[in-house]
Amino acid sequence: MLMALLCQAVAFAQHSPDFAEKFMTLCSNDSTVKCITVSPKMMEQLVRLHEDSRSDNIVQAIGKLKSARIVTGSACYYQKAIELIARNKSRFIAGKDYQTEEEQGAFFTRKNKKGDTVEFIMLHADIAGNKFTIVNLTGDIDDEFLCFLFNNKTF
Amino acid sequence: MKKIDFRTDILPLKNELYRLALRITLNTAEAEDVVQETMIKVWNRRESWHEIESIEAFCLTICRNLALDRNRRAELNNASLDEGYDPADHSYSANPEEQASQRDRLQLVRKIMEQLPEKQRTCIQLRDVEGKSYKEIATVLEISEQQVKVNIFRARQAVKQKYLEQEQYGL
Amino acid sequence: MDYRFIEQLIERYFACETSLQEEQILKTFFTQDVEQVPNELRPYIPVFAAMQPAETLGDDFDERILAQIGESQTVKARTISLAERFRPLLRAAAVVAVVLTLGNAMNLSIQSGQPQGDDINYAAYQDTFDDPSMAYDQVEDALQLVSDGFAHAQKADSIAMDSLYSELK
Repeated sequence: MLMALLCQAVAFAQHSPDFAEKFMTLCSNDSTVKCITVSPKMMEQLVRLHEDSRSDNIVQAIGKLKSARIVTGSACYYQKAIELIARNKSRFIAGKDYQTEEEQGAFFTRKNKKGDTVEFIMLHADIAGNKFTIVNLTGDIDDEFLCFLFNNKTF
Repeated sequence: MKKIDFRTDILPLKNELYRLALRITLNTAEAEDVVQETMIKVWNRRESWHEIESIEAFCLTICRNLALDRNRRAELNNASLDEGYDPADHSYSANPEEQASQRDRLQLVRKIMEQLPEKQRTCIQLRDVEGKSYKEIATVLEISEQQVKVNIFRARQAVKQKYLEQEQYGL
Repeated sequence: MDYRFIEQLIERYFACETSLQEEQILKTFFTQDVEQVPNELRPYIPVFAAMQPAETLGDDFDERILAQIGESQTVKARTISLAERFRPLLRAAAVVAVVLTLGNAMNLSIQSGQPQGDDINYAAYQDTFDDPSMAYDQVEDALQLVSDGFAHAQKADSIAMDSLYSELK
């Protein structure tokens, strides 16, 4: 009886990790790679914190997020992240990538079974500063969300 | 409310106004004059700028009315765009033949638009080219949003029937 | 590639049911390189090409007006660059749809209600910070990085368009 219940529990626990988690698992032995986690509970608090600046693009964008994970390491990890994405080709949809003298960036998204985009990944390498960042967001990654971020550019 | 400055808020509207005037008068020189007149007129009303909800809609309205006045006075209704006018080519094609035929097709679409009644032309210009909302267009033309939608519907249908159906039958 | 989405948009466009965002997507799609447009959709290219804001007035116009109203002639209004003149005026969502993938444009209906995360096990998420304002700063920086990234990607796109234009000239 217990075995059956346990099996059922395992079956229901078939959750998929977000990209950041996959990457951190890959780098589990490497202490130079760090991950910041913002859970859904915390995310809700962030929105309430800035309710007065509701017109701000950032606050609006945060309102659509369920979670955020930010991974940092040295620039050489950019390639590792790209390779991890490639190994999960069917899961992640590639967007444009760009390269300037000082930096490199690439975007990816993941859809759920209903066809909604629920996960957003940005890989970024600051070549000059030897910094690598993964911005991994989950939530309502729809056109409105992207709009908020697009309108927020600083240059 | 932000104070309106002629140089940064109104003068940059010149191209949008020019394109609208051009769509109505179908003449580059006339259109340029209309824009100039519009700007001066708007400048002369600067005491009441702070009362205006949308300075852009205000400028577009004045521009359209001046352009229509010009048409009435010069009877340009049946004129075609002047010979010197060469619409910018946006067919980014490497093949020159393809480019030429795309240019012809583009000319054809523009000709169809020119022949539309002014209201339809203006509505589609403000919507499809300038990306204005139905509400904004309704303000400029002083008609209802529903009427804006009807005008745009008719304009697009005209293009569909006159151009696309020709394309399909290889005319 | 599945062009059904574009075909649906085209139908809705002629039925006057499209939003500005959707219309911008059509414009963006049809002003890319001809080779990228499938044969059966090429007849639509001139229709959407006719929608590009093409005509402009020169800088001398600004000077004349400013002179007429008695303002200084040395300060000019913002002029439209070549890139802006010959590129469609891209609205945010459409640009982003191109920057990410056209597939993202499928999400045209804004998802209301609770944000989704589907099958992710959030219960296992352990917050790095206890203080929301610290978490906020990190998230803000991260989102800023993304915003700037979009701008870079768009710029790269437009530079490509510009060089294509200058090749054709």
